[in-house]
Formats: sequence, C-alpha cells, structure tokens
Amino acid sequence: MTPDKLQDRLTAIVRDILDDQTILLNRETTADDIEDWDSLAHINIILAVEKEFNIRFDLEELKPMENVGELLDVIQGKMAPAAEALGELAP
Amino acid sequence: MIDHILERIGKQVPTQKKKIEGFFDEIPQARAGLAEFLNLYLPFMRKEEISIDTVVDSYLELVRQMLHSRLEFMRTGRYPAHSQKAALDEIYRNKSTMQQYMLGLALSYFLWRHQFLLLTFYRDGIRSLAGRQRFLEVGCGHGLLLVELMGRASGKSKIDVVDISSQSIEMTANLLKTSFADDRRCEFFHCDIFDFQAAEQYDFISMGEVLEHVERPKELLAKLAGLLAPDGRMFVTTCANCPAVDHVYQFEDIQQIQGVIAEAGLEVVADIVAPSEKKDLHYLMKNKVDISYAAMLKRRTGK
Repeated sequence: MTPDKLQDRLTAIVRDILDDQTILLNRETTADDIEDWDSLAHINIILAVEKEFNIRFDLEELKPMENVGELLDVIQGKMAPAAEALGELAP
Repeated sequence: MIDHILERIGKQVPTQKKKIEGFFDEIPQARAGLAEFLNLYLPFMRKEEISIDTVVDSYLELVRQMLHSRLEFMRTGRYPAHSQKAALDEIYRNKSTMQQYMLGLALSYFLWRHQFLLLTFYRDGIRSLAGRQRFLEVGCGHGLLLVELMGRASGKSKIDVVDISSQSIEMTANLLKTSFADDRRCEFFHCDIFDFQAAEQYDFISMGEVLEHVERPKELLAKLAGLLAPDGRMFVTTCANCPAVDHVYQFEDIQQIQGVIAEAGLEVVADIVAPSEKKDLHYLMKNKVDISYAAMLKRRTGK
C-alpha cells in the first residue's frame, strides 16, 4: 500500500471515530492538533486501525506517539510481515 | 506546583494534559480543589518521603494500566481481572503496588471530571450529618473520603473503618496522623467486610469504589443494609464499563447498578451519573465509555 493511500485510510478512520469529516491528517499532525483526540479516542482509533488493517498492537505500543507519521510507520511495519506471509508484498 | 504536575503529565501523555486542561477550564473549582488536596497530602508525603513527582508518576502508571485494561476490554468485552482473590494477591497485599495505585487514584479525583463530580456529590451529601455519631467506612483506600468525613463528623463520633488491604489501612492511618493528630475517633479493622462483625448499627456508611472490586456486589450491599440504622444513610460509588486491573464485577449500565441496589433492600435518595467523557449517550454506548455512579441510599421502607 502506498504511503498516501495508507494516510487516506487512517484519516477516514479518525474522521469516523471522532465524528468529524473535516479532519485532515498529515505526517506532522499530533493528537494535540485535533480537538477530540484524547486518551479514550486514541484507544478507539487503535482498535479501528487493528480491524481495518488486520494487525494487532502490543500493549507497550499504546504509548503516545510523537505524531501521525510515527503511527503510520508502525502500521506500515506491522502490515509488511503479514503481506509478506501472504506473498502480496507491495513493490 | 499544579503547573509542574500538568507539565510532567503532558510530557508523557499529551492527550491526558489536554483533557485535564479542558476539565479545569470547564470546572475551575477542580483546580482549586487540587491545590487543597496537595495542601492536605504534602505533610503526609513529606513524612513518608514521597515526592510530588512520585505521585504524578503513580498517576501516569494508573493511566497506563487503565488504557491497557480498556484495550483488552474493548477487544474481548470482558474485564481483564480474573478474580477478587487474584486482585488481593497481586495488588492489595503488595505494599509498593498498592501505594502507587492509591496515590494515583487520589490524584485522579482532581484531574478527572467524573471523579471530581463524585467527590463533590459526596461533600454535599455529608453536609447534613448533624446528630449522627456512628459511622462506618468500607474500603478506605487512599483515605480521601475518610478525611472528608472526619472534617464533617462531630467530635463525639465513632468511625469504624474496614479494609481488606493492610497497606490501605497503613496509608490512611498515616494520613490521619498528619491531618488529624491525636484524633481518636477512628478505629481500623483489617478484614474482609463479609467477615466484619459490627457491634451496633451505623447512622452513616460510606463505601467508595468497592462494589466493582467484589464478585457479589448484591450480597455486599445487603450486608451493609443490615448494618444501617433504620433512618441511616449510605453513600456508595461504583462504575459501569470501567475496566481496571482489579475490577472484577462488570456492570454494563447504570440501570443494572440501580437494580442491584434495589434487590439488596436499599432505596436511592439522591444520585449522580458521571461519564468519564462529556459526550452524548450515543457515543457513550457505542464506545462503552466508563460511567461512574454515586448514590445516597437508605433502607427500603417496609424491609
């Protein structure tokens, strides 16, 4: 999956969880930049990400992330082994 | 000191700091309450050689554990704690774990909207204790509610305090030594409340954050109903959808809590429902948001 596509899908998830279709994410966005992105919302976003991308976060990975870029990298990192196992590794 | 606390929280969990600042904006009395709490706890902390950073770190550890528990709860639909006995062995009997847990929990009363609302409800409820002299506190924990009660109860009062954790009793007793030196109104009983033999009935019973920790909440309330004087009052708090490392009984909503109260032979005189998030009902139910509940109870008429 391309980084742009991944970012679009994460944006859709965050918009759905926070019920705000105007949210725009980029790699530098932090939770502080989004009004309703608090601790509970973060858990719900992580759960939705797990479902969307068929991945699972370890408890220690729940620690706050620096920004959306870091979250995208973690998601990408978790998707790669799964895709490799399925022989679907993106070029 | 409050700014230092917020800064330390913000460095590790920015979303927490943001939430707390929003809460302080909404309810400025909470920030003032935090200052009062620190004044109360500082002499105790100095005596016990506990720094303010230790208290904040205890709070952050509580937050971390609660987020882990919540993730597990949202994945499985069940609380992560296996049993009351496991919580007793792993937490309540462990001195450092229990102290950290209680310090973090005490601080949360002034940093979390729902906790502060419950504390305010309690303070309002114990304003009218004139003439009441026999008190029972079940689960003194960090000692915060007991200190509030002692501030209101008359000098002739007798206050029995029961807790299953010797660590909680020790912490609360030490807190009282600094806040109410030479005050002999309290007597502590280290035992399971189900094994507690009371010498008399009580005019007022207080039990904060205990029901969700036991496997038989209805039986516990029924036991306390039997210990309550006919015209007595009982203050109880608990919560629904509130996973934590030692929460055992899973209330799914407030109606279920109220049902258990009624089945135990008690009647609600006044109550408050305080969700941990200031959201509409649809959001609360969809996301199984932690909802706290406090009630002032009396024995049901005719029982």
